[in-house]
Amino acid sequence: MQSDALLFDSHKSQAKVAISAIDDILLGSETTQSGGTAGKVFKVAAMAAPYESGRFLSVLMWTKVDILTVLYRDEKGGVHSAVFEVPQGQAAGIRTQLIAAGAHATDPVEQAQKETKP
Amino acid sequence: MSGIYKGVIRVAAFCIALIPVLAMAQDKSPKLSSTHIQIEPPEAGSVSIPAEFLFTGYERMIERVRHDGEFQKVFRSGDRDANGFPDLVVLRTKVSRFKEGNQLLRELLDLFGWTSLDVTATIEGRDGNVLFSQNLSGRVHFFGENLGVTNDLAKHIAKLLREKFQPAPAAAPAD
Repeated sequence: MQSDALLFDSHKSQAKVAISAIDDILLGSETTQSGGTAGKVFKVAAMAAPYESGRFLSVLMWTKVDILTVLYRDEKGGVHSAVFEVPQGQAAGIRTQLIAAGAHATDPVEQAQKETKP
Repeated sequence: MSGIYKGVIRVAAFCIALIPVLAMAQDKSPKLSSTHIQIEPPEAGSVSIPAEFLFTGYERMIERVRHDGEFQKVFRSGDRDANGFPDLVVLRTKVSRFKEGNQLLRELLDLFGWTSLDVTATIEGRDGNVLFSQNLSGRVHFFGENLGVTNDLAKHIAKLLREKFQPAPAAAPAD
């Protein structure tokens, strides 16, 4: 995060988003496989373990993460979204930082209401 | 008695022979024609669904439809440039059912932990007139993250658009 922009870089694309263009920041959580590429390699290797024990070995690689969904508009008004996986407990801090820097965001209570009754 | 049997067999054979003819007739229904589409983010409706599923679905729909090249230009929701195209159609999706499974459970026990997302996809003209509407589903049965359900759904939506629309002439990828 820069002073006035959020920079992100994935294998497919890079983007620089002005913090003032952020319309909403939504929080969530998910359980996912940890370890990145090494984790995937381990998981594939574990498939070769006898009696399907590899399935149970991969249980060790599960972790909870926070999900941060950032909604922003481009210069033509088009809605974009970026979904980030961040270590558990960090999403709320990032959200607070972005709001302090000028991003717009709905209250988490409003978010919960939106997710159930739009 | 044998005459009745023969009659029944003839009727059954006629009905069976009719199935491919009806299927072909259905396939040859005239395709819609539009060179521009605007995609709106899925609406949760009264279904409880985490926001990341809605917006990952939105991005994946845009990505898939652009990749297919069925339309000359694919506009995002709110894009002001879309106002200049009289043949613009709008894709709206409304979630009708969502079941968040469990990836760990799926990988341990194949028959449990499936994730599914059912939506009603509607194509509207500029005037809000509904051109067609169809129920579609995304599923993750065995491998992959729960969010993968949005990818499966986007594939089905892109396929539906390919079936319903004529390819746009000189389609070019949009940004």
